[in-house]
Amino acid sequence: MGDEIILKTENLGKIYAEGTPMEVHALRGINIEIKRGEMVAIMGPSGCGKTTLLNLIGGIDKPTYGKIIIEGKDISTLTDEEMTEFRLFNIGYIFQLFNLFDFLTALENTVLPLLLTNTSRFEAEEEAKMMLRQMGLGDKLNHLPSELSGGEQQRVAVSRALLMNPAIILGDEPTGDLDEMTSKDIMDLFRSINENFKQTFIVVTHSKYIAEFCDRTIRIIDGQIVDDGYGGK
Amino acid sequence: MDYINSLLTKTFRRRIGKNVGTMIGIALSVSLMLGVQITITSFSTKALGFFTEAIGENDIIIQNFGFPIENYQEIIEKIDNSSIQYAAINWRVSQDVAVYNLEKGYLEKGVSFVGVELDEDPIFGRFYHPDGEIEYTKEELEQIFSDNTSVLVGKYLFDDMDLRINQTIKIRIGELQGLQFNYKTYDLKVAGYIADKEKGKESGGRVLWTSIDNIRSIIGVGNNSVTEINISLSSNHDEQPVSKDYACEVEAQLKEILDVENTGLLVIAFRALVLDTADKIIKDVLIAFNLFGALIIFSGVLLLVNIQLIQVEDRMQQLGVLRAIGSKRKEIIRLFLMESAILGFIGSLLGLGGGYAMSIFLVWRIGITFFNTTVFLTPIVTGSAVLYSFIVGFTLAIGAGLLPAIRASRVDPIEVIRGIKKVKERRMGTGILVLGISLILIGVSTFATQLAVGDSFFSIQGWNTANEQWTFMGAVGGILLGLSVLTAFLVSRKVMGNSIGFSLITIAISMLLFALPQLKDVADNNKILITCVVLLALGTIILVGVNLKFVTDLVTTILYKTKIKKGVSLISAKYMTSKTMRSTLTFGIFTLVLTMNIFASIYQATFSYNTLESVEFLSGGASIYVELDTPIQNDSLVDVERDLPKVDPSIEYVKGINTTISLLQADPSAKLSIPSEIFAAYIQLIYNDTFKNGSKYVFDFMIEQSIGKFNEEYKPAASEEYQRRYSHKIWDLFYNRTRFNRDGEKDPNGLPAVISTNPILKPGDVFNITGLFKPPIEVIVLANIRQYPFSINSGFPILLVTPDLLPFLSYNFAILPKYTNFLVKTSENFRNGRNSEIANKIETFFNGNESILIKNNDFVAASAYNVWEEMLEQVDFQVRTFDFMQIFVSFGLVVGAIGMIIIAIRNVSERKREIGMMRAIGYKKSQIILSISLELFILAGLGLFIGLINSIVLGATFARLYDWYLIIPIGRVLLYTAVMIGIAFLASIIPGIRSSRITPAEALRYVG
Repeated sequence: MGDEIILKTENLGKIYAEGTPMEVHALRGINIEIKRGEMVAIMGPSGCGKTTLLNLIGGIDKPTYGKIIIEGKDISTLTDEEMTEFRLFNIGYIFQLFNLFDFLTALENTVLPLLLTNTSRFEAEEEAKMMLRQMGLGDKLNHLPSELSGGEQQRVAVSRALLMNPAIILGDEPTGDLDEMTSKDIMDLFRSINENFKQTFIVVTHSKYIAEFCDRTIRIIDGQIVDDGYGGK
Repeated sequence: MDYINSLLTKTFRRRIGKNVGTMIGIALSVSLMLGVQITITSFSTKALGFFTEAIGENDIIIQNFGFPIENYQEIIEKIDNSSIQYAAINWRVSQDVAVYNLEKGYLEKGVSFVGVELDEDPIFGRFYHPDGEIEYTKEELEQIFSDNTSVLVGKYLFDDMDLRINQTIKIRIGELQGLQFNYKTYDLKVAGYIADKEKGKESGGRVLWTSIDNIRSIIGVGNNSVTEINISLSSNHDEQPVSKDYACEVEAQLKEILDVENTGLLVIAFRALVLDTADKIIKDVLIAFNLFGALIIFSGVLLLVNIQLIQVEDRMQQLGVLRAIGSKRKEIIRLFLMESAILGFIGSLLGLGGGYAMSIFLVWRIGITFFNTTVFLTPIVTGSAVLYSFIVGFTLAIGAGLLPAIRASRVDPIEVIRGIKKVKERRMGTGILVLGISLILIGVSTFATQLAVGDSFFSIQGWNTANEQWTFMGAVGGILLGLSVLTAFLVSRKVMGNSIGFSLITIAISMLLFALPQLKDVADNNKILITCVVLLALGTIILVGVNLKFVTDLVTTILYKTKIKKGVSLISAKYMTSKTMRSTLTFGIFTLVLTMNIFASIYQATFSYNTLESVEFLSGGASIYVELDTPIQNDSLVDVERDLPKVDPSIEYVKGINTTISLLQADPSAKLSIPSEIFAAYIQLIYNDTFKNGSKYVFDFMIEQSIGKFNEEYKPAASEEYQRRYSHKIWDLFYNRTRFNRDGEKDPNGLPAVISTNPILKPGDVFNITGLFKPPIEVIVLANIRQYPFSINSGFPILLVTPDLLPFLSYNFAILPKYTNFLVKTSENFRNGRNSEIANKIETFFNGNESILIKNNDFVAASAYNVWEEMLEQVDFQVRTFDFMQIFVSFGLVVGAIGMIIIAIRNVSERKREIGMMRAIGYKKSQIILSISLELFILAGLGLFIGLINSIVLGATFARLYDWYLIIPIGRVLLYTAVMIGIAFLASIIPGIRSSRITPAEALRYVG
C-alpha cells in the first residue's frame, strides 16, 4: 500500500426520486480517500447506501451532488461515453450474484472486456486463459456458468474483473451467495491479489468476517459515514 | 390458492406494459389469420357473384339448342303435374345478336335479345326506370312494346355503346326458316334503359328487352313456341340457397318427365353448373391465395409462439421463487394458464378488429386487380372465419404460454433463484420409439400397397398420376420421418431435428426435380408444388434452427473479421444460440415472408418472359384471328378468303374455319377437371388443307400431350425442331382419321379422334358430342394443342374434328353453315409489326360505315385480334395477379415486422439485467445498441438468405417444369431484400435504442 490517493470523494450525495413524495437520501455528503493498494470494506445495515456508493464509484450511477475523483480524474463530470470507457479500463466489478452471462462459457465471460478493446482475439483469449488458470479453472474454460459451482462462478467473475488490470476492483457482496468455506477462499484470493499486485479492492459486505480480510472498514448508516478505521488482517 | 390469485392480479398490473406488448403480438397474429380469410372469402364470393349476378334466381334451363321448343305449355303442364316444387317458372324467346350503333360506329357482339311475358314472375327480375327506384308498370311496358321495334336496354350496354333514347340501332338476327337460320339486319328503337340493380333483369347487363310477342314476330317463331323455359327453385338464393345436389336431382327428374332421350331437349341445372365452373375458374387464383395465405398465417403463428415464449422466460425468476416458497406445480401452471387466457382473449379480440382493417385494404385491391373496378368492395366476414381465427389465436396463445410454463415448472427452484436458467431435459421415452416405428411401418406398407396395386411406383407411367405421386410422397415422408423420430430415441434430439429437416427438404426437392416434370397435369402440379413450397420452407427452418450454433459460430467468425468490436459480436451470436427456439421462430418469419415475396416475383418474371418468348413459336404463324358472330349471308358480296388479302398488302394468307357449338357429354371414366358431365363446346371442322397448304404447314400449331404411347415421346423441354416433328406426327394421325380404342391404341374399329385446345379435355378422355336430331357420337381426345388463337378469349373448350364426323353434325353446322372463324397470316414482324393496325382494318372492312356488307344491310359483327397483343393482355392479368399476391404477402410482412419489433422490445425488457451487466463491464451505449440490433439483424439476414435460396430453388424448379428460361428479376429481388433489410433494421434498431436508455444501476437491480 502506498500513499498515492487513488480514489477520493468530496461531499458525495445521492437522492433517489428527488422532488417526489418518494424522495430518498441514499447518500449524504460522503468524503473518503482510498490509497492505491488498499483493501477496503464498506459495511452497514441494509438500505444504508453501501451499494449506491459502490455504484457511484464504479460510474454506473450518477451522483446528485459532490465529486468522485479516481486517479486524479473527476469522473462525475464525464459523459456517459467517457464514463463507460473509463469503467472498461479502470474499474473491475464483482457482484454477489456473479452476473455472468449464462449463455457464455467461463472463457468467453472472462475475455469479454478485452474483446471490447483492440486486442486480437487470440491474444485476448490467451490472456483470459492464463487468468482462469491462475484462478484454478484451467480445466473448466469451456464450461457454462450453470456447469460451475458458486465458488467457481465467482472466480470467473474475478478473472473478468482482473483481466483489464483495473485501478480499482469493486465487489458488491462478492461472497454473499457463497458458503463460509468458499467465501474464505474467495477473500483469500482477493487478499493475495491485493498483496501481490497492489490491486485496490473496495468490497461492500454485511459480514464482519469478510471485513476482517480488509485493511480498513468504513461503516455507513443512513447514508453517512459513521466510522472509518484501519484493522482487519 | 388465494395468494396465487392475488399474485396474478399484482403481477399482471405491474407488468402491464409488457402484457400490452404481448397482447399486441397476439392481436397481430390473429389479424393475419382473420385478414387472410376475409380476403380469400371476399374474393371468391365476389368472383362467384360476378358469374351469378345476371342469372338471378334461375336454377334450371330447358332449351333446344337455340331452336324453338314447340308446345311449351304442355311442358309447363307436365312440370306442374310432377312432384317438383319450384318457386317460379317462366318462358322466353331469345337469341344472341350483334348490335350496331351506326351513329357512333360502336358494335357489340353476343348481346342477348330477349322477349319476356310482361307479367313474368318478379323472381326473375324487374324492370326499373333509370332512377333505379321506380319499377316500370305493366301498362308502361305494354305501351313501350306496342311498337314492336322498341326495346329497353340494359344499363351496361346502354353506356358501353353510348346509346341515346329514341335512337335507332341495328341488330343482326337469325330468322328461322325450316331448320336453318337466315341472318338479317333489323332496326330497333331504344325506348329507354333499365337501371343496374340487384340480380336478374335488374342487373342491367348486355341485354335488349322486348315482349315475347315482338321477338316471335321478328325471328319467325309461332305463339306456341319459346326458346327457353327457366325454373327457379328458390325465390332468394342468398337466404335460401339451393344445393347443387338438389338442383341436379331436379334436373334428372325433369329429364325423365320430359323424355329428353327422344325429344332431344336440353335440361341443365344451370346455376349449379355456373357456380361450379366459376369455382374451377377461380380455383387457380384461390390456390395461390391459399398458399400465400397459409404461409402468412404460419408466420402469424410463429409470431405468437415467439412472444409467448418470452412472456414465460421473462418470469423464470418469479417461478423459482414461487416453487421455493412452496407453490405446487399445478398452481404455477394455473397462474400461467390464467395469464395466457387473459392475454390470449384480449389479444385475439383486438386481432379480430385488426384482421378486418387489413381486409378492407386488400379487398379494395382485389376490386382493382381482378374486377377492374375502383368501387369499394365490402369485405365479407363469415362467422366461421372469425370463430376460427379467435379460437386458433386463443388456443395458440394459451398453448404457447402454457407449454413452456409446464416445462418451466420442472426447473430446480434453487438454480432459478440463483439465475441459472436451465431446464431439465426429459429423456425421450418409449412413446417416441412406438411413433417412429409406426411411421416407418405406415410408409413401408403404403409402398407395398402401391407396388401391389399400382404395380408402378418407380416407373414413369406410375408417376404420371397425381395420386401415385401423393402416395409416393406420403410413403417416403412416413419412412424418413419415422427414421428421424427413432434417432431421437437412439441418438439425440438434435440428430432427430436434423433428420426431420433433411427429410422435409429431401422430399420437397426430389418431388420438385423428379416427380413434377413427369406429371403433365397443371392443376395437380400446382397442388404438389404448394406442398413442396411448404415442406421446403419448414425443412430449411428446422434444419437451420437445429444447427443454429454452427451457423452462429460461422457468423461470429465472419463478424470477428469486421470492425465491429469482438465483444459485441460474441454477445450477439451467443445469445442467439442460447435461445434456439425463439431465434428459429424469428428467422422463420423472415424466411417465410421472403420466400413468398421473391418466389412470387421470380415466378411472375419467368412466367411473363417465357410465355411471351414462346408466343410466336406456339402461335404457329397465325398472327391475327378473326371471329364473326354469324356467317355472311350473301357471299356474293364478300368472300373473306379471297377479299381479305386486299385489305392490306401484308396479309399473306387467310383460312376460314367452319365452327359450330355443341354439347359434350363426358364419359364417366373421363377425369374432368370440371364438375359437369355436360358442357358446351365449340366444334371446328378441320380439313386437310385447313392448316396445311399441300404438304406444308401454313399454320403450324404445337401439340402438347397426346394419347397412349405417343405421349411418351412428348418432351416439353425439347428443341423447337423436336417439338415440331412430334406435333406433325400427331397431326398426321389426325389428318389420316386414325381411330383409337379406349386404351389409346390404334384400332380401325376404335373411336374417331379429335384434338382439344383446352386442358379440361385431356388426351384419352372419351366424350359424346351431342348432335342435333342425331344420336350422340362417341369420340376420343387424341391430343391437346399448346396454344390456339381462338382459345384465348373463348369461354368454352374447342374441339377440332375431321370431316368424317360431318354427317353426324350436319344440323349443328347448319345453324352456322359457313365460315365464321378465320386465321390470318401476315408478313409483319410478329411482335413489333403492324398487326394491330391490320386487325383494325379487318374490323373496319366488316363493320365500318363504308363496309360493303353494312351498305347492303348484311352486316356481320367481326372481331379481329392481334395474337401478340392478346397474349400480352393475358400475361398482364397474370402479372397483376402476382402483383396483388405480393401486396397480400407484404401485409404479412408489415404485420410480421411490427410483431418482430414488439418481440425485440419485449426481449430487451427481459434482458435488462444482462444489459446492466454489459454496461458495468464497459459496453458503451452504442455497443449495446449494436449488439441487440446485430442479433436480430443476423437472424433476419439468415431468414433472408434462406428465403432467397428457397425462392430461387422453387423458381428454378418451376422453370424446369415448364421448360422455361429462369428469370430472376434482380431489381425486384434487390428491392424486396432491401425492404426486408430495412424492416429488419427498424425491428432491431428500435429495441437497441430502447436498451441503451436503461441505466446500468437500474438494470442490475432488475429481477423480471
